[in-house]
Amino acid sequence: MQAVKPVEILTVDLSSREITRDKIEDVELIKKYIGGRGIATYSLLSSMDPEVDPYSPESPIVFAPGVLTGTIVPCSGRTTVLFKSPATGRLFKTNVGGHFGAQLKFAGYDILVVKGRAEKPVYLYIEDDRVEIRDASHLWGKDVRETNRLVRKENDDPEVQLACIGPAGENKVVYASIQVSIYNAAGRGGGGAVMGDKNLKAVAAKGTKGIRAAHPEKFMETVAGLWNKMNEVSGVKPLSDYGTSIGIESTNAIGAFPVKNYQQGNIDNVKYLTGTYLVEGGFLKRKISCYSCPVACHRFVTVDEGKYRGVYTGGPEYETLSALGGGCLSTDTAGVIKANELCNILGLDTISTGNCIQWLMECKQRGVVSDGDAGGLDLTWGNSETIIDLVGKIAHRQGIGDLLAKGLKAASEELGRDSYKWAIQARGLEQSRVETRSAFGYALAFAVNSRGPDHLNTECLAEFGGSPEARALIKRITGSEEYAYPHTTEKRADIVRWHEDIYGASDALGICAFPTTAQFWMDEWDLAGLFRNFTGIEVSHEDMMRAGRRMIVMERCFNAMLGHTREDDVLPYRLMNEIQHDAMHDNAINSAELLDKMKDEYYALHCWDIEKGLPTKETLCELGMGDLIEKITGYIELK
Amino acid sequence: MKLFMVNPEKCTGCHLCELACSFNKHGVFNRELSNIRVENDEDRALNVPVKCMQCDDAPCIASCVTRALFKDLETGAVLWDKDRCIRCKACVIACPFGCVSLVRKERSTNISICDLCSGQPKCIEVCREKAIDYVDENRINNKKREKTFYKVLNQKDGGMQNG
Repeated sequence: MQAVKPVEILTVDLSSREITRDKIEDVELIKKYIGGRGIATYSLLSSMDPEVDPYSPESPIVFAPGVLTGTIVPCSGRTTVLFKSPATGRLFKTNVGGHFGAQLKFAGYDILVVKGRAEKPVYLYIEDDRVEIRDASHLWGKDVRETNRLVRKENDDPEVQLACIGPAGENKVVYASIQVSIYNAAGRGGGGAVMGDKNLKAVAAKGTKGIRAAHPEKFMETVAGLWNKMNEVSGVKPLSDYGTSIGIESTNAIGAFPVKNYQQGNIDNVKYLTGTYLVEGGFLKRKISCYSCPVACHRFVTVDEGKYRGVYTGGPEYETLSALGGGCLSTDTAGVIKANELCNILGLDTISTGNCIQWLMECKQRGVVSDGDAGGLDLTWGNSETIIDLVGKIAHRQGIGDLLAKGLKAASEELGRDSYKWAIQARGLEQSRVETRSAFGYALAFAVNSRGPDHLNTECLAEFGGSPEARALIKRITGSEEYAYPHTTEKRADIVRWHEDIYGASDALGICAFPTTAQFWMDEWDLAGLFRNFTGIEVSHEDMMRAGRRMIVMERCFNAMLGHTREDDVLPYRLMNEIQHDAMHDNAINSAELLDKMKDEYYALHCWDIEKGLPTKETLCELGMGDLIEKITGYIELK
Repeated sequence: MKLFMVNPEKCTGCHLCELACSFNKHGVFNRELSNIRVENDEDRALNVPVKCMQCDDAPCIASCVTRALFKDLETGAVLWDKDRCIRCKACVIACPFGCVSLVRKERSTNISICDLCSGQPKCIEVCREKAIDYVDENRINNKKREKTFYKVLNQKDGGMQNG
């Protein structure tokens, strides 16, 4: 075997201004953890004290593009961002598209670790071997759009790519996003607040080095095979034509579109929130691709008439149309676009922002908060202007925005008066826009997710059986197509674990989760083929899935060291205690009993300690992770 | 003859064309080595693929005192003779589109211009949106004419669903 390309790690300490470069050349380690998210998580778990405060200089933030990022592999432009979340107090993996990761790779780095805290605002400039910590006083306070413009201008280079924060990150809103390529967001978990705490306004990257595959011909053959599959599957064209919001109409029709803060399962006039309407209403101007993505599901929209004339932004995605639209009982397309633009340029996660606004509106509905408490804002459901006002207030922590900026967990604790009952959050993370009471696979996935209740560690869309490819996958995982039915607990553990595995493998390679878990044109054999031909390291499809599983196990161990056990694998109060309205089936609730049944099966499938929901020493050894036992047992006991 | 057509309206900025080009020419993924470049304004999500226009009256050829640049009569591409070239770089300056570039390879400097991959451009194979395409000169307007035809027809008798 030829020498394997090492994993290049760049570490920047903002306190000491020290810049170091390391390499990982151990083939066995690379085989086990692949790269990107896998190796980044391994290095944090093995070297970091999990108990450090997310806002301490010792708490690092890691940018890890995938192994294949920067290559011609379709949909391979993604980057993992890892940090300890100020929202959840746990290890948090986010993943973002755009063009930043590819530039970091072209500059020669696989992983960038930033630690310490700068004395005053700085930005990190990386151009090949040149790495500089530069003054960013003039950028502090600027929005994302302006920050991008200024950094490109002062470097006289329109091709520099930025991962940066807006005012929300500077003000440490716990769900401040990191905006990449302006309109892509490593949105969840408050990575933006971590950067803000470090006085790190932006990381700017530009690379001119090339990337080579170990077996170029075979690599290109694998890529050509993927193009054929992409052109054959049913889901790619609709996603490309109408974006991620393509599914809103059908979700609404089955009563599973979370409306009015999960009080309703559908909304009248839903058409104004759909991808089809973005096209027909003249909002969609262009499609946007992440690096190396032929699908281009991202949108670029403008508002050309009415109150919000002149507004333009990337998006809105499914999650945003739901969180800032339907969830707030609004179907004002232009209003959602305006709120989306503000989230993008102020640097806020649209999901958490929307959930917080919905919670506040329900506080008024239940007489817990008055318009006067909100500085005179009219908190009536569906008021677009209020939604837009609140986005700005949250980012700048003005008035009631300061309460919402703390996230639903802290805000509902502070407000009290039973408001936790309609705070749609668990473990400090606001739930993403899935009605888990109508989808039990999602319910299990959200409950056991290391991040909190959302879809970005396990997108198990296949359980709906919405396409021939989805049904075929469910049959492959469970043995029968009849399990492509979301209102049952049967086989959910198998479905969730399969999705977690492939999600991890996709993240590590830098591949988007859509091809692997939504349109189903890349499977574990494809991922193994790509990795093998790119690195020259022999792996099987099973090796890829086991690598993905190791990521889940490492995240669980990290959080377990902080006290996480099976009692924490829960969903928001409302979803566990109130029956879903408008549901198409009986028993539309994520009761503790229902979750317990699925959790037992899930832990058992993983060979974990069922009582605690934790990996055992034996599980770790079986996965070849025995070296981590000593570190973990320094904090907790393992069976 | 075929013509290389660019439709920036359709370009989504995936940059796959650049990678296809650099891989085909140099076996490496590196946009710096690509003969096609996608210029972009991220804020307004504008993307414009830029490459050699195969000018009929090519300033690069006119600027070359050693006749190292010449036209491929079959494809219309500008070809480069490395033995005749003295690397004076006049062609780099002459090109109004910035599409003649220098590629340094070990100790030598090469001139790099899109050669249309001898009539089978690799870049268009990875453009799903057909923002770049290589089409028969005589067929360029066929689609547009066809579309107009059906538009007129539909207006006339309302019922036609074709086109």
